[in-house]
Parts: sequence; C-alpha cells; structure tokens
Amino acid sequence: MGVSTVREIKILLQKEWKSEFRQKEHFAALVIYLLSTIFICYLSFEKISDGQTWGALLWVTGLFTSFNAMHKALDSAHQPQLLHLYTLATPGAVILSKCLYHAAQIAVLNVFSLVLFLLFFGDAVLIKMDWGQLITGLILGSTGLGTMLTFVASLAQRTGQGVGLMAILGFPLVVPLLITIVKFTRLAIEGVTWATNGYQLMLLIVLNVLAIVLSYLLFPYLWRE
Amino acid sequence: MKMHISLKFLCAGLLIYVAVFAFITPLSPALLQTNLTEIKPGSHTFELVGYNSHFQSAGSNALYLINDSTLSIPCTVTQVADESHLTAEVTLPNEMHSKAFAFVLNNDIDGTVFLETPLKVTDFTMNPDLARTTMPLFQHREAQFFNYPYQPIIMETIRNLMWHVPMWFTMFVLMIISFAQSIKVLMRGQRGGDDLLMPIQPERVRPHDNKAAMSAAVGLVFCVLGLITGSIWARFTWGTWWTRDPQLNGALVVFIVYASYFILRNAVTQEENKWKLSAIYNIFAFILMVVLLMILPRFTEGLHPGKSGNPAFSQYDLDSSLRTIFYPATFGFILLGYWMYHLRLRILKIEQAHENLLA
Amino acid sequence: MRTFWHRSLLFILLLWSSHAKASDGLEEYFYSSGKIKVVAAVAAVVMLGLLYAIWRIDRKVSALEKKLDSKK
Repeated sequence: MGVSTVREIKILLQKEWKSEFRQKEHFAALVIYLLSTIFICYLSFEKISDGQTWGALLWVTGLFTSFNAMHKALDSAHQPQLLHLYTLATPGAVILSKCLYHAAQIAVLNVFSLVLFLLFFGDAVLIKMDWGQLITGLILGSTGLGTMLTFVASLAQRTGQGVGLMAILGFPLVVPLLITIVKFTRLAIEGVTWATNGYQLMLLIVLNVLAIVLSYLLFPYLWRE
Repeated sequence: MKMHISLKFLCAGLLIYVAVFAFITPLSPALLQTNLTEIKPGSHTFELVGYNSHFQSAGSNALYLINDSTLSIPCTVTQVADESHLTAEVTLPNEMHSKAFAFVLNNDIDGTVFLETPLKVTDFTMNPDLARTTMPLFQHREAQFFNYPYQPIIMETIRNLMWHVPMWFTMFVLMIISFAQSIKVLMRGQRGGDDLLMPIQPERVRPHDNKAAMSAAVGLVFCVLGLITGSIWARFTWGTWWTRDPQLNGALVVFIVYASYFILRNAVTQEENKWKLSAIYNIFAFILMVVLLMILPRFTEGLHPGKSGNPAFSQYDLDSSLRTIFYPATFGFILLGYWMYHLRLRILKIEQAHENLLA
Repeated sequence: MRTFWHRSLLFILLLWSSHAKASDGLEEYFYSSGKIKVVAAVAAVVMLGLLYAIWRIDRKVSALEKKLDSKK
C-alpha cells in the first residue's frame, strides 16, 4: 500500500461524498428512520431507570440504523460514475475508502442518536458516566460496524439477492462486536476507570483491526472476476 | 485423502470402549455430608455419610477433624451402620487455630477422603500461634480401584465430559478443514497474474469447494450435538437448560453463522460465484468462531471450567483415570467426524459424476 | 405402543426426580443395583448401531464408485 493508494482513497472518498451530497434524501431518510425508532422506544419504554438498558438500547438502535445505511450503500453502487472509478482504482483502495466512508457515516448517525437519546430519555442514569469512554466506544463501535457491514454488503450484492440476504449474513457476524461494545458502554455508564474497561477496549480494537485486515485481504477476490 | 480401513476399525473400537467405560467406571469414594453443624468445646456425636465408600468392608476407619490443616483431632468411630453411614464421637479442646474445619477419613479400601464443611463455631479461643500437632500417621492412599475423580457439584455427570467435549474438538477439526479448503478455493479460483484471460478451470476448484462445504456440514452436526449435550449437562450442574455463559452463547452464534453459510450457498445460482462468495464467508466465519469460542470467553465472566477463575480444564485432565477414557473419546469422535465428512464427500462426487453422465 | 409411552413417561419422571439430590438419585440406583451395566450395554448397542449404519453407507458408496468407474 503506497502513496498512490492513499491518493486513490482520497479521490474515492471525495467522489463518494459528492454523490452523497447530490442525493441528500438518502441521508435524510436515515435520520428520519433513526428519529422514529428512538421515538418509538421513548413511547414504549416511557422511562429508562438503569444504565444497562440505556446503553443496550443505544446500540440496538445503532445496529439497525447501520443496516439501513448499508441498504443505501447497495443502491449507490449502481451509480455509473462511481462504478467507473472503481474499475480504475485498486481493490484495496476501493474497500478502504468504502469502509472509511461508511464508518464515518455510521459514526455521525450514532452521535445523532446519542443526542436524541439524551433529549428523550434524559441523562438521569448517566450521572457517573465517563464521557471520554462513551465517545471512544461510539467511534470504535461505528468503525467496526461500518467495516464489517460494508464487506457483508459487497458480498450480499454479488449474490444478486441483495437486502434480505445481507441481514442473514450480517447479523451473526457482528454479534461479538455488539456484545463487546454493549459491555463497554455499560461500564462507561457505570463510570469505571479506563483500566477496568481495558479488556473491552482492547477487544474492540482487536475486532476492528481483524475486520479491516480481513476485508482488505478478501475484497480483491470479491471485486474482480 | 482416503481413509484407511484400519482407521475405521480404530474409530469403532475406541467409540465402543468409550461407550462402555464412560459408564461403568465408578466415581471415587468421597464424604458427602455430616449432620454436625455447630461445634463448641466439649464432646460431640455425629453421623457421617459417604459416597461410594466402604466403611463396613474396610478393616478400620481412621477419622480426624482437622483445623486449619495444622491441628488434627482424632475422632472415635462408635458405630458403622453400613458402607456409607457411620457414627463417630469427638472431644474438642478450647483453643483452635481458625474457623476452617475439615474431616479426613482413611481406610484401606477407600484411601484418604476429605470433607470440607461449613461449621458454626462458638466459644472457642482463637489462637493462631497454637502449637502444631503432628499430623495423623497414615499414608496418603489412593482408592484401590480405577475410578473418576469426585467433584462436588459435577458428581456422576462427569461422564458427560466424554461426550460433550469431544464434540467441540471434532467440530473444530472439521471447521479447520473447511477453512483451509476455502483458502484453496480462493487461490485456485482466481484469474490473475499473467493469464488474466485464462478461464477458471472448474475441475481445479470444485473439489476444494466440495470439501469445504461437506466438512462444514458435518461440523455443524457436531456443533448441534455439542449444544445438546452441553444443555443437558447445564441442567444437572448449573440448574438450567440455557444460561448466560459466553461460551454457550458463542457456540449458538457459531451455529447460526455456519447455517447462514449454507443459506448463502443455496442463494447463489452461478457456480463460480458460489465458490468464491462462500469461500470468503467461510473464512470470515472461521475467524469469528475463534474469536467467539476461544478469545471472548476468557474476558467475560462465565460458568465453564477453565475460564475466568473457574477451575481449569487441566484439573480434570491431570487425573489419569479420566485421561484413559477422555483421550480415546476425543480421538474416536474426531475419526468418526472425519469418516462422516469423507462419506458425504464421496456421495457428493458420485452425484456430480452422475449429473455429468446425464448431461 | 401404549406400554412404550408409559415406559417413556416413567423414564422421564425418573430423570426429572434425579437431579433433586445426587445422593438418592437415578445414578445411585443404577450403581448400587449394578444396573449401570445395562446402561453401558445400551450405550454400546446404540454406538454399534450407529457404526453399523455408517459402515453400510460406506459399503454402498464404494459399490457405487466402482459402478461409476466401469461406466467411464
């Protein structure tokens, strides 16, 4: 991976961003989805009185939103300009740019979801929370979800079955990440020290690295005939 | 790889041996309980219940109450009701080391057996500097027959070790085969290098894809068997069919992942695509299995032995009588799994050849 | 058929009652009366049946393979 790959990634990211900007309704749809999901949670739960439920609900919402974001990703791959660029770039650059882009997108959505959670459920259960840990968890969880789901989405796209298969293939694969991130968030809400939460942090980093390395290594086989 | 006929006989022999000896080997003698709950200085009469013990057939029973493993107080056995019940008497002094007590019984059939029991202690003067008494002068003896170690909660269900654990080992072996074959599929099924225009040769890829799929299929069967035997064991030792144990839930996720692998295989109709996609998913699934079953349980509190402060697996493993059955069981089941996989593979090859003949 | 169901029910009930306390459970009954040999024999027979089934499949597959080879 040399300088050229970095340049390729940069160009691809720019293109991706432009295409996203051109189709703002995609992102708007995701935000509306998020808003209505959290509002339904608010109406059905009425009040959340413990940190564990708060954290778990945040990530379940995050998971479903991420899956939804990936549906859009499947669609946008059909855009002719991007497809043309993809054939020119190296597969490594393509997958890394896609992963980065979706990780960022999911991170933005999760931050938004955090704001909505604070708005609807209040911060009564978060008195002891370590904000640094929560934000770290939010970022690492988003990158992990983004990478894994991007890869699964590309795989599902190649089967020609699309969305339905993606859920079947994707859900079991993200389970370890989800278990770890929910536990990390729970401990962050309980306000433990970084050292106590160290195992979870380490596992999150390991899972992220594993997802990125595996995607980088396997994507070439998926991409070209 | 062809499976030699001697391996098939070995597999059959080992499994029959395991089926018989996993059950008829008795549990080692142990002390089960006592009706002595409260002690104070003076004389006490109590009853002691043994398990698989031979109080009556043994010549004599030497019984001691041991305090803090330094002070031993001899008890007098007054009456032996039967092989597993005896009545004894003990006279306790005023001073004790600590509140930790244990019974030690020694006879020439059962060897030396212990019972650590919580006793309500009253009226003693605790004196940590109390002079040590010499330990009772008996040789530490093993029981006189071949047996399983006695574990308080596990007790007779320790036999399930011979069924439950080999299932997972077999599954692992089969999944490793599947993983290796998937990598081969990717290596062979790739157009690239100088011969970019060379078509993929199906006959070079298909055998590996067959192997990957069939070993995963048989591995999935062993996964289900492992879950079932584990669930039954959990009911007897942890008191519930299903519980919050990371390894247990991880195993279920592994099952779901490999089941989706087959859904993926069925969803893709174009053959070359199927090889490639399922191989990629298989590699992901294998890495996930390693994370779920070998890494995550070490960092999460659970109930399985050997993880997060629970007694280690090697503790059973060290016991030589367990080993003489556990190792054959593991080896026998791995051979059985390989045999089943090999048969599935041959049947698939026949089916494919048959289709070719018809086409 | 009815006796079969009765027996299964009895067996399940026995199994149910066995985990209350290990000392007066099913295992103790089997071990003290020597009937554990029956249990072991049943396990061995089940195992033998399984192995026989696999053996037979192996034989059939071998026969089919030979047939296929001769056709080629």
